[in-house]
Amino acid sequence: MKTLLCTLACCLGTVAHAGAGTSHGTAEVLDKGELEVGLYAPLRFGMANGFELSIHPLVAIRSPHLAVKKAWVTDGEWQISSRHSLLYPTPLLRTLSGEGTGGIIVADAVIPAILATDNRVILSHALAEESTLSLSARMMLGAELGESSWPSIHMPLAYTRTAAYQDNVSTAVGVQLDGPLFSTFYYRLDFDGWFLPLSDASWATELKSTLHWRPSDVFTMQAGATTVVGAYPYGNNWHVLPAVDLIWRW
Amino acid sequence: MILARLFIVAAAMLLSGCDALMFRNGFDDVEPAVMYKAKTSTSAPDSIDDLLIINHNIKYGGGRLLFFWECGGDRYNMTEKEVKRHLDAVVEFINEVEPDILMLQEVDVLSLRSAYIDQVQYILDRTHLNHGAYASQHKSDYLPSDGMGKMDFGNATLSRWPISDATRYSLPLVEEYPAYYQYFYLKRHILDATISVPGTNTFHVVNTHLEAFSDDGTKRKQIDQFHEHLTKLENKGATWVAGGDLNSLPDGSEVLKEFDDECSGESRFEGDNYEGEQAWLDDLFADFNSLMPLDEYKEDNSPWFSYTGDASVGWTRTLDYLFTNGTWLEGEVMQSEEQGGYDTLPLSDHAPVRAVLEVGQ
Repeated sequence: MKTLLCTLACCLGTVAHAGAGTSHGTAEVLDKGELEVGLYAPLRFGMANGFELSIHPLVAIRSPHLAVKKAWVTDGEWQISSRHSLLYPTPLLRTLSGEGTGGIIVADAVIPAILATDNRVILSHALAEESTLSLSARMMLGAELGESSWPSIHMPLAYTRTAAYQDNVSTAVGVQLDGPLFSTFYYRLDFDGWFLPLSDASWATELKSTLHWRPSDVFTMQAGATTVVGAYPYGNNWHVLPAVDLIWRW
Repeated sequence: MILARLFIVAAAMLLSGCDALMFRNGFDDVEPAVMYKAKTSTSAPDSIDDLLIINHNIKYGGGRLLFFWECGGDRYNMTEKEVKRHLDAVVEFINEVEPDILMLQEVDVLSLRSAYIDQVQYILDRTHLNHGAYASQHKSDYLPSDGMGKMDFGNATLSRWPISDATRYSLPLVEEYPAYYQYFYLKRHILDATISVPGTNTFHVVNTHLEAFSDDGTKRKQIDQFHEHLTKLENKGATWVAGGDLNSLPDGSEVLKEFDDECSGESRFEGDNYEGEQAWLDDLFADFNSLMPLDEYKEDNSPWFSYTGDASVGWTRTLDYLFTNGTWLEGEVMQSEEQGGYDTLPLSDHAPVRAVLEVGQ
């Protein structure tokens, strides 16, 4: 179980915005009653009045969280929405701390209660039919409530997304381009630049390039890679990670 | 649990195909070593009559701390202060003994557990040694086990004189381990450095650290490959010194298991047992010049002991060796003030082996 959770947690960074062939990552909000879920992508549910709720069901077992997305501007050239998450990652981090395989964090770590929020503003602009440009700004805020002694996680994707837990703040800006290729195939280019003002290592860039196959309105298959170049407490490094997902939408 | 393990195996198989892009755990069979230079050089003699060589497994700057995999150990990551304190003790030892060539095993160069201190550079910058060659035996951008995280440790050869060439030769992997475990596990090697030693034409220093835990004969294969490598050098007419931590006992060892430092409490590994391995080093002793004469060892094992897992019981067995195709003038295991003139027990779980080689004849 620990290993599965660990793998999911590691993949989360790649897949948290993995709505291939979907509106996830754009300013668009699901209509009331619409539902979307992926193997890795979160479960999203459209509410009334331009609200959308999302949660990652498997991760939520050990890392309770909930995200609310609200569409603020839906008319005009630019759509604007914001997304706000509240996270309690402590049980997951404690699960990942231990001896043997899957022990991502040392067993003698002291992990306190941690509360974090993840806030984004997303602007989307239709460039042409089925092509969308999205810009985003993101700020994660975190606080440790109690004695703390655990090493930060020096892995691609994970380092940036857990930095705010210990260092209180992390920020990112993003550019995402969605568009058609041919037939039922689409592409997505999603670039994020991170700035971690209070961390030992302060920057990272992530470029996720995926090909989407959407044989129907219900199902999308996504495959590609995420290239991460960034600083870690030991120096700069780069990695290319697989980005794969299956997504259903009703 | 079974599903989780199957998932790991599948993931490891997939990921090993992308090793260069993700974990970077792999090595080529033959690849160049990483070369180092001291920040400031000190002068090295142009001519010498003999060469002082030290071999030492420095336990990644861990001193006598007990880590989670050791008997009674509970330590994971060291603080920068701890690592520097331990390394400074090693540096003090090196500056006292002043070897011409230093062969090190278990040197961290970029590991979370040792605060990412490059120990090769640290030692070079604080001693009279000017040049270094390093080859990793355990390198991973992220080890998803025991919180080890980023890991890069291995063997290093340091010298007063320039190292003109250094190569890492891979040794056989432990076959009994499952694929995922083998992928993340240590990958042993031979580090062969060619050093411009005055009075020699081609002088090789061959440094290795062989497998400690395997029941499938991997260590035997590694010893054989080590022997084969030295034979090739011999046939090429090169002069060489070779050694390291062979994790093996020589023929004539009185104790093969249940050593005095054996764990009486909980430990991740079973106690060392060398039964059935007594003859594995015989060819090395037969074909090359060992610093430790076997007949002397058979008379009394204890002066040649170079390892103990428990400092309170003293050194318990011989794991570290030096061989040459030249001539040793003298040497010993530096166990204490009385034997070797230095209290080396606090430095590491291994004692340094000191040897003087005849040169320029």
